[in-house]
Amino acid sequence: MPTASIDTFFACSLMTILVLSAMAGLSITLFPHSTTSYNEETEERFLQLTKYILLNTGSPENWGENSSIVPSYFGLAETNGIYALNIDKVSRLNIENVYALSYSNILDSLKIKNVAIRMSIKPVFDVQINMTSNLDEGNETVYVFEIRTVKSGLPLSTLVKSHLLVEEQVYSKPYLTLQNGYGVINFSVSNSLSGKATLIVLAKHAFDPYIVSFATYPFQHNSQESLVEDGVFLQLSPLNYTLHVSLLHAAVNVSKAYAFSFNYTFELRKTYENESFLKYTIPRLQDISPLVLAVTGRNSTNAFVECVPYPQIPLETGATFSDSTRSNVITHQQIIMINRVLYEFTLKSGGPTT
Amino acid sequence: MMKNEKAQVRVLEAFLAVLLVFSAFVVSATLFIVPEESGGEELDSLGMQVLLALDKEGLLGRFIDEGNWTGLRESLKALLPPAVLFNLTVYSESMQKLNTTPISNQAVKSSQVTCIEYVCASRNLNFRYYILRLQLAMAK
Repeated sequence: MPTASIDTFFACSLMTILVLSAMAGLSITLFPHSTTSYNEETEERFLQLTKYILLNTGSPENWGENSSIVPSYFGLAETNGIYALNIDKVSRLNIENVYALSYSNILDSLKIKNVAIRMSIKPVFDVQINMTSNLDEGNETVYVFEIRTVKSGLPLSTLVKSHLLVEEQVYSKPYLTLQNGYGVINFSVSNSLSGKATLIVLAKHAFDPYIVSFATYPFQHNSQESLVEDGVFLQLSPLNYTLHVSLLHAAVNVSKAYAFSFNYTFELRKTYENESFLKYTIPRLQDISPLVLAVTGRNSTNAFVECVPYPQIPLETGATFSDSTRSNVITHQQIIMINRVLYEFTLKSGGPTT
Repeated sequence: MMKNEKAQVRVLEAFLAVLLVFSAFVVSATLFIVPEESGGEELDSLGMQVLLALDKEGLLGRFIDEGNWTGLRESLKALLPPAVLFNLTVYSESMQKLNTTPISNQAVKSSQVTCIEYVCASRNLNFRYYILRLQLAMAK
């Protein structure tokens, strides 16, 4: 073979290798940037999805208050509201509500494919209750509770209103200011009463009256029975200013129902009753506060109290993103208003693995 | 000799081509501007959300009318995540600074500060408007 041919072959091989390596290097360098562009597009798409959910009423507009309607188009907004959500549309997202929409209902009405979502709504701050002591003094028992109001672990100055329910008895305390998000309250409860009791605490931000939160704390009073969670005897579903009570056991009897807002307490009026189902009317208040609805009753032996908030928040619904089947999970947060109270809305959206 | 010269030229050509490819690669890499990752847009959106939420029921204007700077600071603290540093300055229509005390959680010292300007109309009977400048940064 002539030397020239060897040289040409060598030169061509060198050229080919270098061109290929240059192309490979270039593609490696550009790949992250092309992915960034893809992520930006995905993020923008999911941002628009969040806005769509929060700014549209859905169709029909009254799908929230009418329990038999499944929306053909999804949207949580109140009519004529900007980032103001409808109390019933929100309550129907809570899976504990008997009229809750299923995840497939939500996805179908959103008319989107290959996207998984998870929605959550919670108050702006948390109320934490802890029972520090209970002292039996013969005729009554004195309970001492620590109340903390915190946001992301940091204390928040608030004004709190507390009520304690045992059997059909309501004990209320005057307003208490938690200067550094901490306070102590005590209740003396008659020992002639017994059963599952519940402490209800509503807290309002010291300066902003539109920031309100609440918490309930169930415990056994004067009883050796073990404490059962809410939802064991009754299923409480507030909707369209009506509290729907489903009895989950034959031996359960309901006696009274109450509504607690930050400034008011009402006994609810029963409008319907059969063997396993009751309805109560919930008052429409101007008070800037969520409502905590409490139903008292008895199972075969013991008295109990079960509670549900209206709007039925905190809630979390949708897909779980704990597995690795989804990528590009993007979270959007928005401050929203429901019945003039501010809450935090979070939407996690994710597409299939790319 | 002639053949050797031709071969040498070809090898030289090959090396020149290599040089050309590499120089093109290096030049194109330097020309490519990498977009800087920043959370500026998110902070911008967050700040605007918070101001809108405060203004929705007229509370923002009421705080300013009353000179309740503590209330304004505490409300911002409640609505913004704790990791976000803020500094709010309130100006009158004639751009005079109104807040007598700082409305901030910590000094905003960061290389990436987002600034939002917001016009708030008071719902008082005497019409007034205020210009708010909210600076936000992520705590490190």
